[in-house]
Amino acid sequence: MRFRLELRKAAVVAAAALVSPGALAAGFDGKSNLVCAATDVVACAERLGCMEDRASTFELPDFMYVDFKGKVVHARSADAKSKVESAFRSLDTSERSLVIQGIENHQGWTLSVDRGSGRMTTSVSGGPVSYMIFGVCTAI
Amino acid sequence: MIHSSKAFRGALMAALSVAGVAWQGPALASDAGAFIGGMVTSNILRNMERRTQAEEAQAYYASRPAPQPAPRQTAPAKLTPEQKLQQLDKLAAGGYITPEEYKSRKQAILDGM
Repeated sequence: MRFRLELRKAAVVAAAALVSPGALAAGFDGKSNLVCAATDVVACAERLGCMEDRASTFELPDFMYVDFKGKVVHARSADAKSKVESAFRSLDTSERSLVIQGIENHQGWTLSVDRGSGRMTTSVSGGPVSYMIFGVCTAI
Repeated sequence: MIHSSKAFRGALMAALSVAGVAWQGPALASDAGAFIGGMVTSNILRNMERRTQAEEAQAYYASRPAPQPAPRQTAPAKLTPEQKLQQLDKLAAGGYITPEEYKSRKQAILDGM
């Protein structure tokens, strides 16, 4: 099961890698939903420093989905029994980036996708620990 | 920059302990379905705490002196009959053995030569 998930994650990364880095990929326009695979995390506590590791080490979901129509980012919980989701409040695009933002449990978060490469960075701040999640997205 | 000093680990440990208590609300909220500000934050916090504890334990065991091997018990050197007789004389002179015991032990030593 775990191996199949890793294969799927590799497929998402490969699909995003096929996108020409110079051109804007179809789908990163805020209309087509996205599936994103987290690869790395850097987490920091104020004045103390940071830790970084693979996303799987932090037990993050293998995939998270951006549903533009429903205005949510969602995933399955670690035990896959329940759905977890975060509503986003804003969606904005520039020539190079697609940016969505939300606030949840007193933490603000921003998910940015490079419209050329599909590379994703999610930054979360405002809680006891702030962190960045790096990964890659592709349109579905 | 990723810190790894003992002081950093100790400070982070203390901060995370406080944060863990303060974060009970969102942790419970994650059960109710909060994703980024709930489950993800809780998982990252928990992992950082677990890892810091593991590093603390590793540092503790690394700082402990290696256990010293127990001193070897050396077998007493085998005495010559002459040395045995000298010891026997000392025991008799000190009154530790009776004249009868002295005689029998001395005879045993002589018989063993």
